[in-house]
Amino acid sequence: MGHTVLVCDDAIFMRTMITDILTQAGYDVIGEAETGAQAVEKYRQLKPDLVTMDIVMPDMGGIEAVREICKDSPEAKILMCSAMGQQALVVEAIQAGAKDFVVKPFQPSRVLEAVQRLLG
Amino acid sequence: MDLARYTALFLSDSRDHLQRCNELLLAWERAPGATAPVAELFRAFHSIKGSSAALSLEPVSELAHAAEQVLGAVRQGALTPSTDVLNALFTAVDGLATGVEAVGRGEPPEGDSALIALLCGLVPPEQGRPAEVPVVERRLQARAGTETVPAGLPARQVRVDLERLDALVHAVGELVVARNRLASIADREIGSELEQVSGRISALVGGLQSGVFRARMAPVDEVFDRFPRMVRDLGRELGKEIRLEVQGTEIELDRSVLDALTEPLTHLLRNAADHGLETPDERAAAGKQREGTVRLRAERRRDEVTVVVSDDGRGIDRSTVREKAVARGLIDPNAPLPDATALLRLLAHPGLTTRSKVSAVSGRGVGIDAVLARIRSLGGRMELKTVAGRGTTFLLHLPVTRAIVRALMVGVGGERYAIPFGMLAEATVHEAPESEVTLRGEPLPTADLRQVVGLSGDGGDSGPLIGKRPAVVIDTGGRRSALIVDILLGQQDVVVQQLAQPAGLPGWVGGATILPDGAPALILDPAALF
Repeated sequence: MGHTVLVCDDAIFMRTMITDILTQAGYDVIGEAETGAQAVEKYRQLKPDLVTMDIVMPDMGGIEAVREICKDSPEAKILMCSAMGQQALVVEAIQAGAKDFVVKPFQPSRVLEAVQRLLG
Repeated sequence: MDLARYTALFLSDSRDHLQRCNELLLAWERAPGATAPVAELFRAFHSIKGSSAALSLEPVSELAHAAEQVLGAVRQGALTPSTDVLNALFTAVDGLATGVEAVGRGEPPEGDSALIALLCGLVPPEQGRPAEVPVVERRLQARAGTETVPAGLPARQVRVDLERLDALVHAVGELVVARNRLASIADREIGSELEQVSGRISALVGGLQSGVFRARMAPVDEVFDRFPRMVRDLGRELGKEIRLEVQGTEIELDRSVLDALTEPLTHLLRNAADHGLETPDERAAAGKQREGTVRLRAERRRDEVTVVVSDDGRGIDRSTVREKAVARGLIDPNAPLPDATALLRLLAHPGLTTRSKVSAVSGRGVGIDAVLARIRSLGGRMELKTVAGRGTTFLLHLPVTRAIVRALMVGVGGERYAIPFGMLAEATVHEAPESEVTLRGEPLPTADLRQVVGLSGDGGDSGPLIGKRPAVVIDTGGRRSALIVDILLGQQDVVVQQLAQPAGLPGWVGGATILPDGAPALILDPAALF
């Protein structure tokens, strides 16, 4: 059994891409969320081993969602997916409890590297 | 990486985002103080930036990035959303659409460095620093609250390729024909098992048919949604204040009917903005609001959808139209003022224009002929209402589907032909020695269906009256003509079969159908005869 992952991004394009990359590497994407609020709700429901989190999302942004998730589950492994030019936001996300980040547009190998590092 | 799949996703995603951007920008333009559209616009540009960058479409991602920067500055309060800023964003949406559509055609998108420079020039330099973004972002996202629309496809829907649906419609059409034949055979054995099974099959096929037709229906909004932006741009171009009210966007039409409506509606809306509405000063002088209103409305009545395009402008001046028509020899100088039907017929005459000046927006002709021809080819009708000083209304009555056509069945030399109802004006009689059919004293361009289909003789002895044969009056784009036949057989709903167009098929063949008795019949396109 591969590790379970929750993919959070408001763009179906990005969700599809990340899901493909992870699925092909043997991970089990068990859920997708397109808003920060959904991300929090699905995290509580699914308890995934790892979360990939976009920063800019409607409803509740990714950083807010990280903060919410880490309030209950400080051990949550969250990988931020940020666009270029959002370094300051990445810093804030890490302070909020995210464990690592990748910058879009990303190479599949970069994503997998970060995921493997987080899951040990 | 499955490039084709990602490209398809990118295209559908970006088109949705850009459409939404247009809507949001239009709303923002009306209420410049609103903050909610800013957050959603930012996300839309951001999303396009992300997916285009992932596909290495730099010209698109750079433009999206520049637009995002402008919105970022507005969010931070560093940039006032002035007309210039909004116009630049509208231009950015257009630029992105051009890039996205290039990708759709399989071409590399072209960069627009001037546009990017324009956008970047709007952003105050000290605000480019991302360090200040987070606080504002959180605040704005909190404020945007429930007004946001979730991205992606609505739940429990699938997108289906139109070709697959067409194939299904075609197969069901064949099935309906076969069912009708079965029913006519079963009718010979009343009370038999065959008749019972045939009845059951009839009901099931009927259900299948309506289900498949429903699957082909799409809300008119898919065509209407582009018009608010178009009318806004027209207003700016023409120096007019125009408000477009759109209603009935949820009404559904067959996909093929809907697609064919874009052009005529564009035409009518341009006419309304350009010819129909007065300038703000003219309106004020006439005691009207400076802002003119154009309405676009769809409503459903049984098997018909009516699309209404109306304006509260100057109306069409009947006496001017009459003068022009007289000058062109179209009507008698002593003719009375044309009524609404006659007016539409005159306006539809190619080359007749009520304007002496050529306009860049809608050209010289009002182009009603093209609109009318398209509506008729869809099996629809068009109506005109106009009141001087109050405005003009065009009503387009359209069939909900094109797969079934109500037709008048006519016969020549023992063969049956179908003429779509939308083309028919009335029926009359042709008297033998005359070469033309005369309708209320007016000779009409005339064709004999016997000659058209290559039969000899005049069929005089096959009709019910010696020396007289029935003729149908055809109305194509406002011009009337007559088609002489042997016999009128009555009306019928025919299932249109798609014809692979073999070379040399005459233009007047509009399609084919199979009649309930199993015999094939051609559907005529009378417009091609005259």
